Order: sequence, then structure tokens, then C-alpha cells
Amino acid sequence: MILGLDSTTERLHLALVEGETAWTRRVVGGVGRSHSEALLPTLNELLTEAGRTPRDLRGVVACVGPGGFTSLRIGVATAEGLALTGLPTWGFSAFELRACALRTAGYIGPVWILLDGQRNEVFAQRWGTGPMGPACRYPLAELPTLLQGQPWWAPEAFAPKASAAADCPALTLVDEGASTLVGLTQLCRELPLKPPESPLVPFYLRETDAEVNFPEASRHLPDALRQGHAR
Amino acid sequence: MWVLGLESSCDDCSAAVVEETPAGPVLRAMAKQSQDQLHSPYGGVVPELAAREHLLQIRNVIQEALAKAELPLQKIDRIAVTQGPGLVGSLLTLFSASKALAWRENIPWVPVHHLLGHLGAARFAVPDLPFPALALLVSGGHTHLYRSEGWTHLELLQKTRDDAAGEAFDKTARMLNLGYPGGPVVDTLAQRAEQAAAAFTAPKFRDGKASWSFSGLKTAMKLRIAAEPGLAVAGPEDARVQALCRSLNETVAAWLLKPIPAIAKETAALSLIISGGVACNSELRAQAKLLAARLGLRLAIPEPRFCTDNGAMIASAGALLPPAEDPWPVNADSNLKL
Repeated sequence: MILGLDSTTERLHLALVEGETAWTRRVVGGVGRSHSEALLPTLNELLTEAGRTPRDLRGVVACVGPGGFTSLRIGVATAEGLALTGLPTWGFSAFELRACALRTAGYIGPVWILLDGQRNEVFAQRWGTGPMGPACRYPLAELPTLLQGQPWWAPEAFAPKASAAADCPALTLVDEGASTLVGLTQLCRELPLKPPESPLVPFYLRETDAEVNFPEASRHLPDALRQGHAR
Repeated sequence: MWVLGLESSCDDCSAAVVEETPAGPVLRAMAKQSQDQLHSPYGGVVPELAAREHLLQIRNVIQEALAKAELPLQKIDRIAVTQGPGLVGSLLTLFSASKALAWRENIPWVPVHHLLGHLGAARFAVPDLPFPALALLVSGGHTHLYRSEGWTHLELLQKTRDDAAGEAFDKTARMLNLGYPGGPVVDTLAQRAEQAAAAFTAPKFRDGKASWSFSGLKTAMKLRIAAEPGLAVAGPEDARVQALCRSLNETVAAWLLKPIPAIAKETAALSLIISGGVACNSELRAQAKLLAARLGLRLAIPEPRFCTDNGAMIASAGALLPPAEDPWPVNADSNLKL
């Protein structure tokens, strides 16, 4: 049984997947620390539904970002803790999760996936069957320059803001929550076919303020502490 | 009982395996990833960088501690972790990982207040310490005096009116371009000084209490450095710099200990505990030894590796606290109260 988890937004996504069967849950919480309170209790609920115990887990796939710094840390740290019990781990980006959700809902792409980058910026990556270029950070006000009229999608919490800045309409999912969980389930099936990752390295896509404000003092920082491991 | 203790409340990521025995806690292994080099160019801890680095070190430090102890995770009887107070991003790394570990392995899990951890560090020094005791917990973030009736009890008596004592060391080292963190470097240079520079004037308070204030000391140090041309860049080999460090050492130690005699008498204390990063300071340790002997107090100061933040102190405290009955919804708390 594979555990999939995404804690990078205020919506916590969890999946337990065994073969063709999946038990999934979407928890709408507050921003930041609240996932710390909900994650394991919700997982217990799913295990009870599945009639299994934590010992039945065989691996963990976890979203490593980009997303809220604090909330993504809770998910990745949880996966790292589970790794110490002997479970292999695999990471996926927030873009990959959304692309997978769109794909399972029938959108093959190519499509720009836009995530809330905060500070009037957007995190963006263009996806087809895989990433069609590197993820980037872009000023929200200049979104039309990025999109060039091409199809795009954004999560419902960010879509109004992105729509106001874009000059072409967004793709929409009829049931974003259900599609995201289907996407997560799919990743639980696909990623364990690849070599495990150890440790999981987050993909922040945004440097720390220290790097911005003190560039000279930040020369020693490795990439993993700057924007993280790009995917 | 084997306890895995985990600490990541600020810039030290540490795991330790401690055996709780009838004679007290015994350290079996400790791993610690210091972030001093990471934060040094900024002259202080950058919270977001600290959290990012902790996240990358979770596997390393826990695996290293267990490997050094030659103990598999399944032999651990209890996991203790710092719940707060501290930097929330840093706290949540080992905190979240520890819950996941305990959850999957069905190991009792204990959230620990960081200051009870510093108190617990003194158990390694004097496990049979008589109580009540005065506990002076002093670091870059705390300068607090407590009355303690046992190893899991702290009752605040007084605290600094402004800055923590540890800040005086960090800021002085910064003003003299001596590096970061300031405490160890100032102490080292102080011990090399042939004599101390002129003493600093102790603050006086309108209420007449023997209280603490260290913000004025920072200002006085700034003026002292500015008054001597070239001193700020003279470097660690300069005798004037060393003399100033010695003066700072003696001043901070004397000021910290000044309230102890009267409060020890008022509270009928039998012991004096000094813990936290500043408890590494050689002058404070020396003056405390003399004072405790004069007052007839049993003195417990952890060895330096247990004074700065570490997993062993959390294990020591966690061994005496009850495991959480409903652990999985428990959250880290950056402002956790005692």
C-alpha cells in the first residue's frame, strides 16, 4: 500500500493506494501549521476504512512544492519520518500533481499550470505528457506575455486572481478536489516504478528573503537552500 | 528505557539516544548538525534558512544517532521532541518527522517544552540534585530565573527586562568583527587576556530590585569600541580586544549571579541549576562555583555539549514526562507556555 500526500496548499490531499483500489481524502484547513494537526488523524481514518494499519504501508510519494513554505515542510518532514521506518520515498512537484489531475480528467495539454506564487507573482510551468520547460516565477501583471494566448489552468483558490490578470479564459475542472485525488492516486501508482529519492529535497521556486536582501552574504548557499531542487 | 530525543527549535538539528536508568540518564549517542557556518555571514539566525536546512538533515541526524548507539529504531521505548517555543519552521521539521516515526512504529511519543529540556540537561550533571532549586536558564533568547520543585517543574521568578544575556556576546562579537556565534569566541579571547578592560557600570532599577537588563550593556560596548580608533577591526589577536572580551565575560557573569543570594534565601533553595548556551561561558561557570560554595547550594551545570540546544536534553526531560495520550493532532507551538 502506497501513501500519497500533498500538503503544499491549504487543502491537504491524502491517498492510500493498493493496486486498483484507493482510499482518498481532501481536508480543507487553514494556511500553514494546521496540516500538522490533521495529517496523521486523517491518515488513521483512511487506514481504518481500508482495514489496514501503518505497518501495511510500503512507500510514500510526497509533494515537495512549490507551495506554502510551512505547509509543504509538514508533508515533507512527515515523509522523511516515515522514510526512517524503512519506507522508500518519491517526490513530485505541485505542477506534476495538477498536470496529472488534468490528464486524468481528459486534458492532454499542452497547458500552462499556474500556482499562487504570492507577492503578486505566479509559479508557472507548461505541461503536456511531461514538463515542457522549466518551472518559473512570473509577475502576475505580465501574465499575458507568458501565456501568449495558450491554454492555462489554475487551482480554484487562485483562479480568480489569475483570471483577472490573464487575457484568455482558463480551463476548469468540474470537480477539482476529486480530480486532484485521482491525480494523486495515479502518482502513487507511477512513481514507485522509479528509483526512490533519499532524502526528499523541496522545490521552493522562491528564494529566502535573506538571499534577496543580502546577496553577498548568501553566496555560500547551495541550490537546495535557495530555490530548492527544480523539477 | 531507551529514549530518542529530538531538537530543532532554532539552528541546531540534533538527535540523541539516552538510556534512562535508576541512577539517571546516560547518553548513548548524539548527532548534531550545527548551522553556525550557514548563518555566520548574516550575523544571526535566518529563520527560513534554518528551517530549510533542518528539513534536509532529518534523516542524517536520526540515522546517525541510532547508528552510533547501535540500536535499531524498534528498540526505542519512547520518542521525545521539542514542541516549542522556538522558530515555527524549524520546530515543525523534527516535530512532524517524530510523529510519523512514532505513528508507524507505535512508539510512545512525548512533546517537550524547550526550557524543560534545558532543565533536564542538568540531570546528566547531577541526577540526584536536591530540590527546591533555582534554575537560571540563559541563552541567546532567554535570561530567566525559575524556582523548580523537580525536574519537570519551572515557576518563573524573574527575567531580563529587555535583551537576553547571550545577545550581548553576539552583538559584541559582531561589533568587533570576531565572527558568529559570539559566545564561544568572546569566551576564548577573554581567557587569553592578561587583564580585563575597565568594568561596565551595572544598571540600577527604580524599584531597587536586583534585576537584569542587557540592552544598556550593548550600547556601552558600542560606545567603548567607537571611542578607540581601529578597535572594531583590530581582530582577535589584539590585546585590547581580548581585554574587552574579558571585561564582558566578567560583567555578564557577575550580573547574572547578582540576584541569586537573596532569592535563594527567600525561596529556601537547596540547589542552583545553570543551563542554556550561555552556561558554556567559563567565567559564569567559575563564578557560579564560588557562589554556590559560599551559599551552600548544590550546583548543577551541564557539560558544554549539553548546554547548547541538543537532543539529549530533550530525551532527559522526555523520560520523566507522560507520553501524549492523543498524540497525532498535537501541533508545534512557537509560543508554548510552561
